[in-house]
Parts: sequence; structure tokens; C-alpha cells
Amino acid sequence: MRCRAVTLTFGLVAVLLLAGCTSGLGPLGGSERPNMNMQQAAQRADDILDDLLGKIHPEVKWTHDTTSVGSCDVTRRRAVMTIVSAERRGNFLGVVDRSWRSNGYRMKSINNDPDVPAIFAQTQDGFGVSLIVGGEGQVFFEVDTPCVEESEVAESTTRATAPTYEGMEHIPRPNIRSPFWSAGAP
Amino acid sequence: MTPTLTWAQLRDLNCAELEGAADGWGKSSNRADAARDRIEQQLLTGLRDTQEGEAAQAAVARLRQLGRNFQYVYTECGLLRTTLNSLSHEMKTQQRVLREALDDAVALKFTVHADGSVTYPAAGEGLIDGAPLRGGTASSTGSPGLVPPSGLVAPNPHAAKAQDIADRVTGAARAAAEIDWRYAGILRRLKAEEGLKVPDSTWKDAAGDAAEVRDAAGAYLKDAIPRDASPAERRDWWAGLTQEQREEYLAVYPDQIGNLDGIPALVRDAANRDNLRLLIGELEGRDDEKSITQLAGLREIDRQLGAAVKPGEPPMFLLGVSDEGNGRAIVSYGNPDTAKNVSTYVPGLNTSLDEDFAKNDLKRALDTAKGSRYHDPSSAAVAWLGYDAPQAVDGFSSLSVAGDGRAVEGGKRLSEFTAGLSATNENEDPHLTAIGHSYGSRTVGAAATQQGGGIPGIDDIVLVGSPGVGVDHAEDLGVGKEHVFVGAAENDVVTVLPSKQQAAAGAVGSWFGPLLYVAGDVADQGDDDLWFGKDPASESFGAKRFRVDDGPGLVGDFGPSIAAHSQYFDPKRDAVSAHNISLISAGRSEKINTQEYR
Amino acid sequence: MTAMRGQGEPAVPPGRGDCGQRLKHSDGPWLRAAGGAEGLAAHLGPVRHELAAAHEGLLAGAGRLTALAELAAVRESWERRIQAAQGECGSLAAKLRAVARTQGATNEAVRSSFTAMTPCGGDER
Repeated sequence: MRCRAVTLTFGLVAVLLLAGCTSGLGPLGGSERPNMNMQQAAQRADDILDDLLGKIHPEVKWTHDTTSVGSCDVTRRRAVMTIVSAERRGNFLGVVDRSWRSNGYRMKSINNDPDVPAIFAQTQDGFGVSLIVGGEGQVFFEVDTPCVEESEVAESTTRATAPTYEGMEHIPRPNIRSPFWSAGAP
Repeated sequence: MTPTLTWAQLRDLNCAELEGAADGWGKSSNRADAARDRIEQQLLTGLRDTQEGEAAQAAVARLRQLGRNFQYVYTECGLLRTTLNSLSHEMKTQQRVLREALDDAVALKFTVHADGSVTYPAAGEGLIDGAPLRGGTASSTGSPGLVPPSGLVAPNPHAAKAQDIADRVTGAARAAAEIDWRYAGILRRLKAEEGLKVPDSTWKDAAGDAAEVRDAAGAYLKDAIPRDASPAERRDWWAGLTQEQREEYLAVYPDQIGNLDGIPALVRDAANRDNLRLLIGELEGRDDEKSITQLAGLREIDRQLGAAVKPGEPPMFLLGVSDEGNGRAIVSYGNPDTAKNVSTYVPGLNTSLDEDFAKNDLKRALDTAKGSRYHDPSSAAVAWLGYDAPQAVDGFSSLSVAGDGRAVEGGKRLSEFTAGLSATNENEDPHLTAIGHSYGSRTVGAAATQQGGGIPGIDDIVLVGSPGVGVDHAEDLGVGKEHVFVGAAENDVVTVLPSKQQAAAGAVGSWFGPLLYVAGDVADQGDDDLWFGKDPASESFGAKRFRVDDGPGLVGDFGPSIAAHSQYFDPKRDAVSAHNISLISAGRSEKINTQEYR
Repeated sequence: MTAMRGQGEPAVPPGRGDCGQRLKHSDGPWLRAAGGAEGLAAHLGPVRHELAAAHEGLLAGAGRLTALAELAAVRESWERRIQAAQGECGSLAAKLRAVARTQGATNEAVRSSFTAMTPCGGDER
């Protein structure tokens, strides 16, 4: 019969859906990775962040930012408190980019806007890793976990290298100068 | 059975004293509220997360109980205030009636006796013999309007008037006695329970007390709430109340005030935190499935509201909560009245007030707030479950459930909500974004087309996983097509649904059958048509498309997935899409520039 | 009604946190809570007097209402309850101080066992 290629795709999908209509669905229909819970995933996220920050030389100081928690996933955040100047921004992104690639991360997407660039990658074990430059050039890192078994999630145990802002609504803009990274910043 | 009250006693009643007493209860209520707040916001923070031994845990438990105790004291003393104010209000009404009757008597030179009877003088000329008609005394018969029997003698014209006055005087006294008796009952039930604990039974009683006082105070308070006014008018009404009046409304009608669009966010939050506790108390007593489900959701929201604030965490504001329909919960991360940017996220298919909403939809709003704040710290994000989303009970085989009706109803409520945001925002020109997810985008579309000018206050519209929004062109959404942003993952299940035409042509049964597609495809001329009209991600729709992460495919090892990213080898959250939504929400949509990266 | 929710006082003044160290402050919250509990007891002190003043003259002006006979009993019950809460505040304050003392002892032991800790100095602000 005459079918457009598009129709065939839908049909194939429909057949697969019909065949695959079973249980094993986690919340929102997502499937959960067995043998890992949210606390473990959060710990892995912390390890990923520790690793990526540790590979930035010269070092940048960072502080803990908000952890958000769903019914099966966690997002960890850290804010860089070292001033990264506009001049050094590209360099910084390059350093992070190379380090992620050398870790075998899959580079998924990039926003190459000069003011608010961002890089989005994914680790081989399914964790999302993001670098986001926000207002006034502040750099943020986020790690998103896959959907795993529900559990409580404790605060990160890694000690921040910049002051932590306990009980404060806003993390301040970067306020630590680095001879290298802040070069050229006002 | 009704105790008597003489009209003289009613006349001499000093209602100002009642109101003075009410103020005293108001003061006690305020002290208890401040105490509770100090315990929850100051004393308990920092203690909460420690696991430091039995003595510490015992102390924390006692502190929590003390906090609950103060909540109870605050509530009940507040009810006492309103009861006394309401008593005064009702007595004053009867005093007015009495005074008018007494004034009439004075004007007519009648004498009102202690027992309520009224003596009238002789008057005029009789019809029969021309002699002046004798005076007399009228007493209340208990039923006003009855003509005194005396057919043979032409009545003194004063008689009827005297009768009327007697009826009014006695009527006022009787009404006052009934009011007194009624309020005595209410007051009796507002006695404090002994001790410091507030068990569930006490909360249940408190809810009952509140209901009773609300009934009594209906005329006094409730009718004055401007339910049919615009959000801006409601804002002005609230601004015009005295502090005492506001406290009363919050104590007696927290559910009305908390869910009223146009009331400032801080006030709504305060009211709804009370509502939440009362609702939880109510639902705990029920054992039907819906109540159990909603209770789980409410408990989770309550837990989050009470959790210690961590670094960088925007504060939560509970802008709406109720058990109406499938449940209502509106939570803002960040103060939506002070933020320059406020985004409102409208959830879709299968969303209802349950634990899943309280965890996952709230996370999504928090993530959006954080992402926006990277760019502009003056940003807030709202998870808005303000309507009944369609519930596709068993996957998509009953998508026919998801007609337009819910979207239309939801659209009206969404418009009122955003009008409220606009009205109470303190910035001159706040930037508001509406984000519709799956069926939520249909609701956004409905809201945008229900009145001229689009959704009140909304500047940017974001549609994610949209099955169509009910219009064919972006510019029909009232914000200009350059302010409509669409992200639809190629593999997002919702967007590969057949349009109604396709389904119809394929006739009965679920759309899982592959044959359906062959037949359906012939009927549908282009692939731009989805279930609710044009695909917003299509070029002909004319919106700005933004990048969302392409998932690896629809089918995983465990069956079909509703979200494209539910494979357990992928992060659950789509950071790319979130980033773009955050840019839009923060008013930096011109920075969207994400591309595939090899 | 208090206006600010979710805006707890920061545990440390802004910008002067100690590089992620948290132990040092863990006895702080307990002492603060103890002081706060004492403050609450004081805060509740005026209640009895306020209620008395508010109900003064009530019997004279509105004395004939049966509702007011009930009110007297109700008022007494709330004064008792609030007084009980006041007592609890005082008792809790003592308990919280005791916990603070235990915490303080623990922290000293832990801190003295730290050897080289990376200071946060060396960066310009």
C-alpha cells in the first residue's frame, strides 16, 4: 500500500507501543534505574561536581547552591564565587569543555552567546552536567540525576571553597578575585 | 426556654464594651501567633536537622508541640474576637430598631412601659357619638401586624400606631434575647481544652468552631468579601481595611482570603498556611481514595513549607490551596509581588493534587525560579494547579476525555490568577510569563483567546510538549508572535498524537493500531494538525522554536513513556529546555541560541 | 500577623561564613533557642492583664447578657492555657541550655582533633 515514510514511522511506533505496554513505570511513566537511590545519585552528582571543579586550574572558589528534589530525581547546584572576567570567559569554557570531553561526556548542546553562554553534557552513566553563565558573568554548575529509587537526600558533604550562605535567599554575585580568572574585570 | 431580656436592658447595653473585649482577644491571638512564628521561623531552624541524641530530640519535639499549641491559641482567640464583634454587630442592629420605635413613641407622646406595652392618649372625634375617642394601652401580641379585635367601636387612630410600636419594642427585645442565647452557646464551645497538647480531635473541634463562628458572623464579615469584583478591586478593598479587620478575616475566613486573586502574596501565604493545617485536619478524618490522595499531596507541601531554608533557596509562598475538584495548590518560589519577573507554570494531563504534584511539579517550578535567578535575581516561578486537568486514567487510550471543556474553565481561572499577579506586583511593569505543559498549553491557549488583549498581564508565552493550543497562529495568543516560544521534543509522546481528523478516519478503538495510521493519514492533509489544532512547533504556526533535548526514543525497556526522558540512562530533567525557559522567564529571550553540539 | 515567611535570620553574617565549616556554629542554635524560649515566656506575660483590661466594664455595661456569664468561664480557661504555655517556655529553656552544654563539649573534642585545615585566606575580596 502507498504509505508516506512518516506514516510508516508512526505505525512502527504504534506497534512498538502496543507491544511494550507493560508495567515497570516509575513516576510520570518514567522508568527507574535499579540499584540506585536518590541519596546515592546525589552523592554521584557531588562527585561529578568535585571532579569538574577540581580540574579547573587555576582554581576557582565555589559555594553550595540549591538542591532541588523530586520523587525520583535530584538536581545539585554550585555557584562559582571567583570573578571570571569577560576576557577570560571563553578560556574558562574551553577548560571545562576539554575536561568534560576527556571524561568521555557526551556534549549535547551549547549556547554560544558571548554574555550568557552555556554548555550541556551528559556523563556515560546518565547524569546531566551543565555550565551556565548567568547575570554579571557568574558561572553556575548543575548536575541532574536520572530517575532512581526514592529516598531522602542529605546535604552535600563536600566542603565549599568559598563561604556558604546559610539561610540566605540569594547567593551573591562573584566577590573573590583570582589573579588569572579575574584579569581585566573591573 | 429563651431567656428574657427587657427592652430597657437592650437599650442600656454598651456594645462598645463588647468590642473592647473583642480587641483584648485579638491581642492574645496576636501574641500567640507571634509566638508560633518565632518558634517555627527562628527557634526551630538550625535545630531541625540535627540528630544529636535523645535529649535534643525530646527538646525539639516539645518545641514543636508548643508551636502547635500557639497555633491553636491563635485560632481560637481569633474566633473569640470575631464572636464578640459579631455579637455586638447583631445587638446594635436590634438597638437601632428599638431606638427608632422609642423615638416614634416620644414624637407621638406615647408612653412605653417597662413590660413593652404602649399607652396612647385620647384622640380625635369618634364616628358614632362625636365624643373624643378614649386612649388605651397596646401590648405586643407577639405577631406584628395583627389588628386588635374590636369591630364595634371605631378605633382610635393612635391605637394602630401604638400597637406597631409595642410590636417593634418587644420584637427587638425578643430578638436580642435570642441572639444572646445563641452566642452563649457559641462562646461556651470556645472554651480552651486543658493542657498543652493539640491532638487531632482538638483540631477537628477547632474546625467545627470556626465553621460555627463563620455562620454566625456571616453578615458581619463574609458578605463583605468582594468575590465578584476584579482582582484590582479586591486589592483596593484589602488595602482599605484596618489592621484589626484584616486580622479578623484571616482568622475566620482564611480559605476565602487565601485563594482570592488580588490579595497580596504575603497575606495569601499566611492565610493558606492556616488553611493547609485545617484542610489536613479535615482530610485526616476521611477514608475515601480522593481524600487520601490529596492528603498525601498536602502533607508533602506542608513538609516543604516547614523545611529549613538552605543557601540560595527562594522562599515558598502558598498562594492557593483547597480540596475543590481534583485539588488546588498554587506555590510560588520567590515573592511574586516583589519580583520583576514572574512565570506561571500550568501543568497538564493527569495532574491533580497528590504527592507526585507536590514533589515533581514543585521541583519544576523551583528549578525554573533558580534558572531565572541566575540571570535576574528578581525572579519568581509559580506552579499553578488552579484547575481540573483531564485525567487520562489508563494512558492515552482515553484521550477523548481531554476535550476543550477543562481548558476553557481552566483558562478563566488562569486569567484571573495572572490579573491578580499583575494587580499586586509592586513593580511598575512586571514581566509575566505563562508556561503551558502538554494539556496546560491548551489551557494557556484558552485563556489567551477568551478576552481581547490576551491573558491579563502576560508578556511571554511558552509552550512545551503542546498537543495544540486551539488557535492556528502564534499571533492569535495576544502577545505578538515574537513572544510565543515553543519547545517540543521530537520524541515527546504528546505531540505525536493523531489529530482528531486522523482519529475519526481511523474509526473506533484506540489509536495503537497501525492500520489506523494508514487510514488516518489520508484524511489529514498535512502533518501540522495535532489533537487541538495546529502544531505550535510547526513553521506555519509562526512561533519561535527553542531547543529541547531530543530523547533517545519513545520506547524503553519498560514500556512506553510519557516523558521523552524517562530512560534510566538519561537525566530525568531536560536541562537544555529548562535553560531556555529560564531565559525567557527572566526576560532574556533574545539570548536563546542553543544548538546541537558535536 | 508576621509578614516575613521563609526569611529566617542567617546563621552567619553575609559574606563572612567560614569556608563551609558548620560545626563551629552548631551549639549556637541551641543557645539561641533557649534564649528565644525565655523571650516567649516574657512575651506572654502581659496576656492576663490585657484580657482583664479589655473585659473591664463589660459586666457593668452588658452585664445582663447570659453570653457574658459563659465568657467569664471561657476567659478563665484561656488564661490557664496560656499560663501553661508560659510555664512550658521556661521549662524548655532550661532543657535547651542543657543540650547546648552537651553540644559544646562534643564540638570541642571534635575540633581539637582536626589537624591541617585549609584556610580560606589568601584570596582578595
